[in-house]
Amino acid sequence: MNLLGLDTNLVLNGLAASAYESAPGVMKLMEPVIEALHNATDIAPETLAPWVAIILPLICILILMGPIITIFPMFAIWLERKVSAHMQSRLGPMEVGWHGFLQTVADGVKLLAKEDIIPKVADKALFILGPILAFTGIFVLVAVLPFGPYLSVTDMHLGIIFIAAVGSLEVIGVLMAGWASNNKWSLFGTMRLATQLVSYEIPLGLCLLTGVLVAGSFQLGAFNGQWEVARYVKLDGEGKETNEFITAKEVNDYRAAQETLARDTYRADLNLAVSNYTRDSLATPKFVLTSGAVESWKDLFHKPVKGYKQADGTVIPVADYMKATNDLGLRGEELEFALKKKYGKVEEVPYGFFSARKLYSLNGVEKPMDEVRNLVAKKTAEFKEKESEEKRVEAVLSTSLKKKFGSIRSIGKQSGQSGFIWNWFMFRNPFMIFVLIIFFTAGLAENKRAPFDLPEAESELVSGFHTEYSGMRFSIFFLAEYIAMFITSLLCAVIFCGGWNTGLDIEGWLFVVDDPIIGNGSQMAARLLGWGDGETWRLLGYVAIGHGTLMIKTLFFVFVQMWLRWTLPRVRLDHVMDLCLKVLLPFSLAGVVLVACWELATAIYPILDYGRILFFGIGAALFLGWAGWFWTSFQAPLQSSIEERTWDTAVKTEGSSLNWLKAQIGLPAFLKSDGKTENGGQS
Amino acid sequence: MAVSEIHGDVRTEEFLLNMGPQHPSTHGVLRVVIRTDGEIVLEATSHVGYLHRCFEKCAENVTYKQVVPYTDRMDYLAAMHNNVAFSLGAERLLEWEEFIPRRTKIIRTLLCELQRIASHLMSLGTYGLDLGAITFFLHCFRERERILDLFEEICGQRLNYSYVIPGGFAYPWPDSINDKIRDFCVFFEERIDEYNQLLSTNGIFIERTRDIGVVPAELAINYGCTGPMLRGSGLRRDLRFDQPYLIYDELIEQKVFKMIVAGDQSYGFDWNVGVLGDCWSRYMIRALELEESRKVVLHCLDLLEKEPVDSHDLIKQARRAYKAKKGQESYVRVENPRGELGYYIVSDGKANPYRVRARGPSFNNLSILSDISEGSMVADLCAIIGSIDIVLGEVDR
Repeated sequence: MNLLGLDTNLVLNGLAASAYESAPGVMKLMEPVIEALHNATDIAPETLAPWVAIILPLICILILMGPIITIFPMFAIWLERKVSAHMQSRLGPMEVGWHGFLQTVADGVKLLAKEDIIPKVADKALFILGPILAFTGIFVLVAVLPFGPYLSVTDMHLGIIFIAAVGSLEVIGVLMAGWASNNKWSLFGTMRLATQLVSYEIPLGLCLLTGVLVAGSFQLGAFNGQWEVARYVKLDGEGKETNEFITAKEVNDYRAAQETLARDTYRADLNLAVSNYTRDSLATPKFVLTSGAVESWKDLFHKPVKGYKQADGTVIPVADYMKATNDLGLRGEELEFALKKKYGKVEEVPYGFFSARKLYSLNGVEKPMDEVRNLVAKKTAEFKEKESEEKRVEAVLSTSLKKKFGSIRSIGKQSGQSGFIWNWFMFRNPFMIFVLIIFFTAGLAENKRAPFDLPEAESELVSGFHTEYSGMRFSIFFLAEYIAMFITSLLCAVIFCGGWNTGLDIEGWLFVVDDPIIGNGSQMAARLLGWGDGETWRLLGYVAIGHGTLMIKTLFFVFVQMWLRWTLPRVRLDHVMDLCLKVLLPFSLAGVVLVACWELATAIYPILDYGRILFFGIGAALFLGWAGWFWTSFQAPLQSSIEERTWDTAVKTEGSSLNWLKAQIGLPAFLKSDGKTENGGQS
Repeated sequence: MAVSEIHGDVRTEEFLLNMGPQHPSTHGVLRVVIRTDGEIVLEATSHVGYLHRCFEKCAENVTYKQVVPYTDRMDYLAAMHNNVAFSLGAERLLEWEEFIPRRTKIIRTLLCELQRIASHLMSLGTYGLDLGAITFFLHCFRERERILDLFEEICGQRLNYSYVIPGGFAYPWPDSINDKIRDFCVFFEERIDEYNQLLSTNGIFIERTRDIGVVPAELAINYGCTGPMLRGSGLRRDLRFDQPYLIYDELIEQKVFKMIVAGDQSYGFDWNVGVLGDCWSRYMIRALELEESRKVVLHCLDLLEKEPVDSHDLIKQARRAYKAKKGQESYVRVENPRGELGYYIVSDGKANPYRVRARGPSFNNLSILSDISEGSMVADLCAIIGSIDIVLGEVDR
């Protein structure tokens, strides 16, 4: 296939490979899909794989980003309506659909159907470009965000830098929009916004930096971390722990080496058996497979080799090379040594993807792929029936590990924010909790949410920079705001509040630990319930629980943003700048320095880490005291003692606050002391 | 645009902005032309008259009773006060004052104070809205709605009541309403605490309003400011105390309620949060007056229950003619939620007034705007206009 002068196969191949590289987790999740598709349609998996590899990332992007662009704003708008209505005792958002759920849909239809007005005196190009840029700047950020374990479009190594860099693109879009509108009030809003956004990016960036200091990585996935095995303890004959420890590295290295060896021998055996069989079955001329190991289609997919390039530049066709391999009759390291001796150091020459698969050829005689595959599949199944790879590996590992180390038991360690709740970065040292507050405040200002909604202050500037926009163009600003809100909340959750970890330390033994002896919780459960090998359940469970946890945390911060919006009055511009440059900036700077010092000090003297227990103990005591005071202050209303009452209402008013509360929580009528006094305020 | 200043190398220009007549923070069709330097207001000139309806001229062509609906449309947030003020004026002109029964006076007082609560709720709520506190606005409106429900039950109207007319009321007082009003007052006490917790003591709110739009006492007197504008500057002036009308003298004697004046420590309230005469003081005066008005309403209800309907009064009322002596004139002023509301009426002996002149508080209070907004920020201008609490229906008449 040639499209636009490009070799489509090469393009597909490249895309597939990059998809595998950039999102291995997602692709791993989708492997069963490929198997299922193969079973359902009878299309060869190796034909299916590159397409799936290309389409799946797109689907993943749609699955991950689609909801963010459509469903989340819709849900958030609905939530915002409900939150505000509950706070304001309004019944409006109950009207359309179940609990007003269809109101947002109706809104969407309205916005789409509205006339799209571009003012005559507006700078048309900038006017159109403005919302697009503002939206893109926010929306592109979604690409690097983790939504759960394995669930990110790309977990970029410099994710934090990317967020800081691309996130500031929004300012340009909004500046364009405000300037192009040719409206003085819009210009006012724009200038306010530019001032505000540019200033608040500084504390925001510094807060991100503290997170980086604690996590030791710019990668957002690394913030969440995993439970991993730290070391092993030797067991005596009765199964009790002794004082002897073996480092995890030692065990893991040995284990990995043994596993590789076991797998290699297994595959080589399989390969040999299959090759011999196919060679015999296909008769002369002798036929070998081009791809070496053919144990499954995955190997075909991973190793499309055309030939082997020698040091002097001559290319040995793969068939020759494989024939030589077969003729040598060796395996493993001996084979490698023999090949090296014969050909010198060789380099793999990659093949065009499909062309390598259509036909197999040797000595100029070609055979259709189907025929070969059927033979391969038949022999492979036969071989596997006798002994599966996993079984062989398991057997090898259990004997060899036991032989080398005796009986051992793993001791776990958390990295990142996994494990119990005190491993969350928020509680990692005494300063991070304040950094979180600064980050959240600065994020609120970055999102232009109340009380920092000066750029669009509706009572001052009508709508600020988007006054002149109508219909869908206006709603794009709106969508951007809600997505920004989501991103800020997600970052709060990921960087400070444990990300996808529940804080109960269950993920470790449920999903992550790969203990040589007991496996992990989900595998055990799957074994007990007879649900297969547990690998699928491990992945699915980990992803589902991780995603759910992260979303709950995110929605909590989203809710706090809404709560603040509907409670607080708007801050004035100079106060906003004062807060940023005189309070948040110095404090976040101090945060960076203190966190760095703390990390360094605890790295040298780990005992210092217990200092935070003292700190949070005092903090908790102070909080409880404050809460008690706050509760008692509720009991005594502010003004009731100022004047004696003129009307004899002692009986009615004495318990009235209590009665009002009772009315709120909906006690049955016979429990209410006086039905007359409380109407609850809900009309 | 003239070059106003040069800061270092940055050249700044003045910016001419048109705020209104369609602007959410001007509380109606007020137009304020602002000259700004960045966010700083250099000059704010208010232009009024977009809602002029020739009320005074119209009033010359109808009978005294028919003027009342016109007065409703003046200060439409405190229509009851307008009705009462005009009716009192007309009654003095017609020399009916001695025939007005005590029960009528009590009801009028009650209505006035209930209306004051409603009007202050509107004022406080929209003030919150001006400063971005939307929830506070809706909480205020929720309670105001209940007062409007009460008014609707009393006279069938929610905004322009025309209930108080010269000589009495347009409809008889429904006695069943007394308990409902009392219920509201009890329920409302809790709400006042809620308002104070939600907005009055909010740090952002105090930062936005303290030391903003400060009106010195002298300036307030020179501009003829009245009501919370004047009392916010620490001046003791409230017509209910200084020139008691209706049954206020009795209420003062019994110490039912107090005059709220900024800086008055005897009230047991810490005024030091703000500066004397700033937006916060004016806001707080209204917030505290809610409680005072509530007490008056409750007291009036008690008095009302002890004051049965006297059919003799009704007969006396029915006999009177709507005609004043030739050349008779009267000026009656009452304390409306915004300040001094007065009606000057002249008669030439006919059934309709010869000349009616209204003195509204909003117009005088608004005239101070350009003096106090100079040097503030654009956002403060909204706060200042909100704290003046104007009703354009009355400013433009």
